[in-house]
Amino acid sequence: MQKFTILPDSISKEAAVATIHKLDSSQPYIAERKIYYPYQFVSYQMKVKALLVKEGALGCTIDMISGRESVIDSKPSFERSVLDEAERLPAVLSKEKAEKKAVQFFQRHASKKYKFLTVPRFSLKESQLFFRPFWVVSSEQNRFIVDAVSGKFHPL
Amino acid sequence: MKTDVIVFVVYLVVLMIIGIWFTRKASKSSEHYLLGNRSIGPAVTAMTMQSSSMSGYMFMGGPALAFQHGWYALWYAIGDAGGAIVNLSVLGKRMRRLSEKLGALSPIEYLEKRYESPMVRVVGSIISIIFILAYVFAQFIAAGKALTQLTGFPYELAVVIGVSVITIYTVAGGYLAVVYTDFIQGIIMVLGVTGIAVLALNHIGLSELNASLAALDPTYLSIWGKDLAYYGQWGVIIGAILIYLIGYMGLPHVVVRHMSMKSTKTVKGAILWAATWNQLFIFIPYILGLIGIVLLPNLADPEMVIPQLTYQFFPGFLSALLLSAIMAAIMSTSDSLLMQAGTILSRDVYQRFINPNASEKKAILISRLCILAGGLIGIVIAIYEPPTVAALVIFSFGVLGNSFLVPYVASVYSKKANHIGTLCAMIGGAATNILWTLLNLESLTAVHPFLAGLIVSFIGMVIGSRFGKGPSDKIKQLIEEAKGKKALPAKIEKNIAHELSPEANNISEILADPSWSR
Repeated sequence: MQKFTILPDSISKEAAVATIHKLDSSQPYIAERKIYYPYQFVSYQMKVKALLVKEGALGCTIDMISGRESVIDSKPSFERSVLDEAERLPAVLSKEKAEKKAVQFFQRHASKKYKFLTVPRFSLKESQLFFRPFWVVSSEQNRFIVDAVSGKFHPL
Repeated sequence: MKTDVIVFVVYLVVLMIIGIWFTRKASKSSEHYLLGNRSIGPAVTAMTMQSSSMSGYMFMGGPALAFQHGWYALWYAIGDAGGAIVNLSVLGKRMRRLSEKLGALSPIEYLEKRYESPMVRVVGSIISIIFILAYVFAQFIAAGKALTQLTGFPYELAVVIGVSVITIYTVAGGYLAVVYTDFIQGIIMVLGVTGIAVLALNHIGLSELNASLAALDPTYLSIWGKDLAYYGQWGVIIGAILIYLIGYMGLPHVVVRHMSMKSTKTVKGAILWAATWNQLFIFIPYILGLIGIVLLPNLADPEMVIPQLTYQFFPGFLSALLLSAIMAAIMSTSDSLLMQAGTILSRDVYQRFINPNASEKKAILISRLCILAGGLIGIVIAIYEPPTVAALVIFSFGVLGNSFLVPYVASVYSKKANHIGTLCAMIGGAATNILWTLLNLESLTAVHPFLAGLIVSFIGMVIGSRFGKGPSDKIKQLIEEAKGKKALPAKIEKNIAHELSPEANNISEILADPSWSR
């Protein structure tokens, strides 16, 4: 079995069910399955040539299916784990495409803050595919994903 | 050196120090992940939003309209006071849901994804770039005028100095924590203008003001404008109210706020702050314009009402401080708008359609060249053919509103609206407003350019949508879902993490796929 980089979960199956049940106790909920969703963690070193040269690291995650970017405040801590093919969603984007999207995202973000005469330069520091665990929690009427890291949820 | 100039320079330096301090603090707290600062509350967000979007117009354009037309100008203020609320109520929730489902980040990208056509993105980008630049030109003219008052230099020289200062401020202030400096400027501007209003109204009360206006020319008090210029012209009056009441729904840089809502509580709070602030503040510049008619009878340039009243009612130091705040706000608005236009051109047009394989370096170069060209054209226009700030802002606001309002509203309310309809609405709305303004069809037809553009844009959408392919089933489904019919218990609805929407959509699709589900 192949090992993959994942975000360790902190929400157990029972806790995920309890999250939803606490808000809707009118029907029984069960945790159907666990699904691992693919992201790319990309980190760039940014350098701005202003009157004072400014440097800093920037990190974001790219959703490897829909391509959505999210800024992150610090590097996530990963672990390695064996994942079954049936619980792992396939990435649609390539690593190169994700890195390109990340740099364009930083450009957009940075250009808003750093203005046009000080367009920052970026050099790739780190790029890593990882999987985030979600619980699929359902009842007869409703179905949700519960983020197994943060406990946040969204209906399916 | 004149004391006022010293105050201005000191003001800019202080702003810069505040900016550096906040930036250092922010980067320390988030371990150098510089862009991760998302801790700004609703009040700061609202003040930043309002002070940067209103700087040039509210201090020069609005008062000038009142100075020229009397109480008629208040029609614009009435619309503006309700603009934020209408905008949020009509578009807010639905657009946020739909953009979330479409995974769109920018307002133009949203249109492309909703209407399933890259052409919509090209046309939308071009219209928004041109009229964002027109906004910048209005800021340049305002900067030139404010600086003329501050330094006593001739207007032409003041424009060149003003734009040069914008450049220096941009280079030096590349690392400014813009949000906080805008917040401080916003506070100074609001307090300053309210202060002038209090002092001026103390000098001449509202009843006395009306009596004096009536003595000068009774038509100043009329709802139809000075000399009853718009008598019975409801088409003009309705247009004047609608432009700021519903026009905001057509401004890509305003609409984007619905899409970028991270915490709905913050955004709702910000809108509430902005709406309250609008009620308190929006009428004041217009009232000052009316006061100017009485107190500054010999004023040659109506757009100088507020700068002149500032010097009349405030001691030299305070008036220089207030003018510096206005000037700095104008500058921070211009550079970010210029930058926005450059980014749209290089990313949404050049990199996407002309040269998709362009390197980052080339894209940056294109972006800079566009900005430079925009800036230079702006200087030339500001010096040689300066329209008034009010005319330019109303024109560019109107064209943007006429181009995008119908497409944005139809995007969430109509399952029939398609890309042909949107292209007709955008091009028809923009062209009508431009022609109506340039050919002065308002005086011929008694219809405001904004109202004319709105009608044509609406007709364009309805007729255009009958041609070409209709929206796909997926889009129709998403529009239905964006209505947000509450199928879930209220407690669950309230706690949904909307940022997980793309993941939820993708997981739903994959789980429903029999070839994957094992």
